Parts: sequence; C-alpha cells; structure tokens
Amino acid sequence: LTGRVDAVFAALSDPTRRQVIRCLSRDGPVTATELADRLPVSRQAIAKHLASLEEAGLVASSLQGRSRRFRLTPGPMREAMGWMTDVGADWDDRLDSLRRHVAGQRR
Amino acid sequence: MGKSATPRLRMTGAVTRSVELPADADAVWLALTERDQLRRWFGADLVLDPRPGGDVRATWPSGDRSVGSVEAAIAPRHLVFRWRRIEGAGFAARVRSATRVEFVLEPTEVGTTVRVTEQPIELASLGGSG
Repeated sequence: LTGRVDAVFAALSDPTRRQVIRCLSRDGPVTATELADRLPVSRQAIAKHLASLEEAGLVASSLQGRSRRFRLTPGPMREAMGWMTDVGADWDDRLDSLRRHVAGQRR
Repeated sequence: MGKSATPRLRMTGAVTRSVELPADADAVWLALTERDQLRRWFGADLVLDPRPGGDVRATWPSGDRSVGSVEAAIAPRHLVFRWRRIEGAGFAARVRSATRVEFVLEPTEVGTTVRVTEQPIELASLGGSG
C-alpha cells in the first residue's frame, strides 16, 4: 500500500468523476468529447476530471488515430478497497483488545 | 480543521468502528492516551501527547514507525490525530498513506461508547514534522 490510496479517494469524492467512471465502465474506452455528449458537463470540465482520474491511476488513455481514448484501470480501486478492509480488520482487533483491557482493569 | 465531511456516498475511504466499554469516560480517556495502557491493547508502542500539536509516535512489532501530531484533544470526549506510517528504514524506507484517526467518547448508562474513524488524508495536509 502506498500514498496512492488517498489520491484514489480524493478522485472518487467528486460526483461528476463518479459519473465519468460509471460511463467508462458501462461503455468502455471513449474520448473526452463523447463523454461530454453523454454527461451534463462541458468538455473542458470533462478533460479536467479525466486528468485527475488519470493522475490517481483510475483511468489510462491512449491515442488511436487522432483521438485520445480513455479507459478504466481498476487496480488502484481494488487497492483502495483492500486498504479499507485491512484498516477495518485492524480496528476490530484493537477495539476487542481495548474492551478486554478495560474490563480487566475493573477487577 | 479539514473540510466538512458530507456523508454522501461514503467515497472518502473513512472506516468507522465502535465499541461499548464498561468504564466511565475518564478511565477510557486514560486507556486511549497513557503509554503504559496503550501498550497493552493498541498493538504498537504508541506515545501521544494529548494536546493540539502534540507529538504522536509509534513503533510497530515489525519495526515500522509512525509519526504524526494531535489535531484535537478534549478530555474525555474527543481525540484526533494525523499520522503516517514509515515502512522499513533508511534509504529503503517507504511512506504509506497518511491517515486521520478520530476517537469520540460517548457516556452511556453502563459505561462509554468509543467510536473510531480512520480515513486517508493527503500527505501535504499532515502538518507537523517527521
């Protein structure tokens, strides 16, 4: 696990970016212009959101002919979900120990 | 303080757990802040100075370290710190995600409920020194 987890959650915190992700997972690789046609957002705004998704590692792009197509790269999303699972399990263990510790102190 | 946490769709990565303890809030506060007590349940040698800006340092059984600072400490109700974990040492050290850890203590009829929330933060917002 690396410092990328916080970038993933920051990227996912925006509702438009979540819409972009939904579009990409439903429709496969698309261009920024195609996304702008499908979502109620300007092409400039879409380009900005795609850039931050790409920076977080959630999206990758490649040139096909003269158009740049964006696709989902789900690895970091899985990593982020794994992070949440691990942290939750750590706290389950810790709070269990805390309960036993506090109960033991009362005796 | 960070930006207000609007709970929409829970995409912040926040992990929340809670436990009810058979002790009053003052006793629980000590269990959360005294090094000797922390050592018995936390799973790391955690030293924290419970006042805003106070140092937070931990050594994990693996040898990893965590460093950070206290954001808020209102005994015996509310404790928040930010920290990051450093894996390995020296040249090979790797900084893992920084997180914010918040404890909220709530008195109940039989004791105290502790709710803990841990969530990732950007390294830049960590503050303090390493």
